[in-house]
Amino acid sequence: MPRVIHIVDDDEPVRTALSLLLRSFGWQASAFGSARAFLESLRQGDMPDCLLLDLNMPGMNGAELMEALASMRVWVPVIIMTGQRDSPLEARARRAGAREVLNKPFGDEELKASIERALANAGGG
Amino acid sequence: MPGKVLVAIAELGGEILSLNHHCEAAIGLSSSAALGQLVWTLLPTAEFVETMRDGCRAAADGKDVADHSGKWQTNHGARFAVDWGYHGIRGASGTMGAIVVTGYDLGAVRRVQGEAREMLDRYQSILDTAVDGILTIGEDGLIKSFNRAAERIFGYRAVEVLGRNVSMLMPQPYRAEHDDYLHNYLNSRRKKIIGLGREVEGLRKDGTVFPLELSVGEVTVSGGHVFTGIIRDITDRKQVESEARRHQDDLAHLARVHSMGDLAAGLAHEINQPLTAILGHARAWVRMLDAGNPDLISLRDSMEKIAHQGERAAEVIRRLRKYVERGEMERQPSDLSASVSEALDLLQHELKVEGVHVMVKSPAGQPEILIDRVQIEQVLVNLVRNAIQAMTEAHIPSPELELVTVVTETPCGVCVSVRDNGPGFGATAPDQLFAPFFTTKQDGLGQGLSSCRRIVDAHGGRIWAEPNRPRGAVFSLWLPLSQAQGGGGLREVTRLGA
Repeated sequence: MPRVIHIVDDDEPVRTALSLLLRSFGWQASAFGSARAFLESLRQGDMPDCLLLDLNMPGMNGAELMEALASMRVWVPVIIMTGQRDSPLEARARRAGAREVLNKPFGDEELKASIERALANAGGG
Repeated sequence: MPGKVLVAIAELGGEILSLNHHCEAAIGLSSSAALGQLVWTLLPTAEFVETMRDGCRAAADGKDVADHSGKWQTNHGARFAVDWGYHGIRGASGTMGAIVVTGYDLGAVRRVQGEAREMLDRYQSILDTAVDGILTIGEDGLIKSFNRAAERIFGYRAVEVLGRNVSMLMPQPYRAEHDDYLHNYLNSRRKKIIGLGREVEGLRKDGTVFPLELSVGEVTVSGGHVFTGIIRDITDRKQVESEARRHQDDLAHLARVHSMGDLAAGLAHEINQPLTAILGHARAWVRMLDAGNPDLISLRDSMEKIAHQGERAAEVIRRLRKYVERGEMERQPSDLSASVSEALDLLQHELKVEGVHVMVKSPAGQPEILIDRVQIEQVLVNLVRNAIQAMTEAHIPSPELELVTVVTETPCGVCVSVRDNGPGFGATAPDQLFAPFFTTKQDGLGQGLSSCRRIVDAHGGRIWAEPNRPRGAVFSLWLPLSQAQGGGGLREVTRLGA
């Protein structure tokens, strides 16, 4: 049974490319254009094994989504994607529980290693 | 012949009967005092007595007598030059009754000529000491006069240009057009330059072209038209203006480079997004190709997406490069709405992340205006960024930005207003916002709006702030439609649709 990775990014080309890349690794991928769309699927019981989350998004941003997940007591391993290193938003996401951060643009091995670590930590914890 | 006519009427024997008042005044003797004296002993000096006597006698005999030139004298012995002639007068019976001696006082003629010469000399000295070049031309375009300053300005001596066509002092295209222009004016009387001043170019003897300010007047002399051109060499003034402009461009460029730090985060994000997509597609396909049995249709689709994302990143770079490049020294006719779009593109990421709802209103068929596009975009970027930051810092729940372009008629120009629903500027006087080093930001240098004002001032425009209703701020930027060069930069553009 392949692991399910969800992607939340407001940029459609990035969602499409990452979905393709995740599938090439053998994972199952679903992509959402906004934090709200992801929360809606969560409410429908669609729980991923790992979440690949963009930080800078209009409306609810990545850090706010993580805070919302914490308040909903939803524990899912999250990998933050950001184009800006060490931003106040990143610090906020880390405080909300983000362990893995990928700086855009990133390589495939970097992505794979990051997801594997996140899955292992979740499995171990 | 100009001057006074002196008349003496005498009997056939030469005895004076009457003098006209000019003659009385000239010799200083009244008619009554001269009555009966011999005309040739009273009027001429001793050496011309015989000449006049012979002339009078011949006239009395009814003969034609040639005119004479010589000297007459006053009652006090003063001599003066006269040209005179004789004429016999016949009575009703046909017999000769009297002789008339008619003289022209050449002294008076010479005095008038002297006065005229003196007046000409005076005018010439005024012309020659004038700082401005002054020249006159006739209807045929040929130069009639050329003062010293004109000699100095153009490098020609007057003798080298007098009688030649004035177009020799103009570079192309003025040179080729001047005769036609003069001809059209004389036919249509439609003025383009006469009675007005304008900046044109002149051509010196050494072949250099220089800027000059020309004003042309027209006078009618003896039924013909004479045009007077007053020329001021403005090379130095233009150079000072150009240096001031360069200085202003450098300052504006520095401000843009400084603001790049602020824009960099947003721009880096805009480049990172397509790069992330490109890497994703490429790496996924390397893996799938290695695994064998690729779906070529999907592969082609990915290639298309990669190319598209490459173009997307290139566009960001182009926009960035254009923004930081040095301003063009030459202003170009441009549509202000295009600058509004470019500024919004540069701030696309910030607007998106901060969830700002943007509305743009611009009228169709807007006139183009002469601007340095990069610098005007810089002003708009500043205004839009300030609005975004003010609304974000005040945690406005639905931040809104409205950019409205309108064409104004009095004075003629184009105005862009940037309207937000942020916190406004409270107790701060709106004009204070544009002062150098004034800032409301913790890490601000207070250079943004003051540099905006410098740029707008250099364009002959205005920038100001006022409160928005019911809340927020409005920053407006107005630029004039016509600039120097007689509004030459103005061009109507037609747009399809709104």
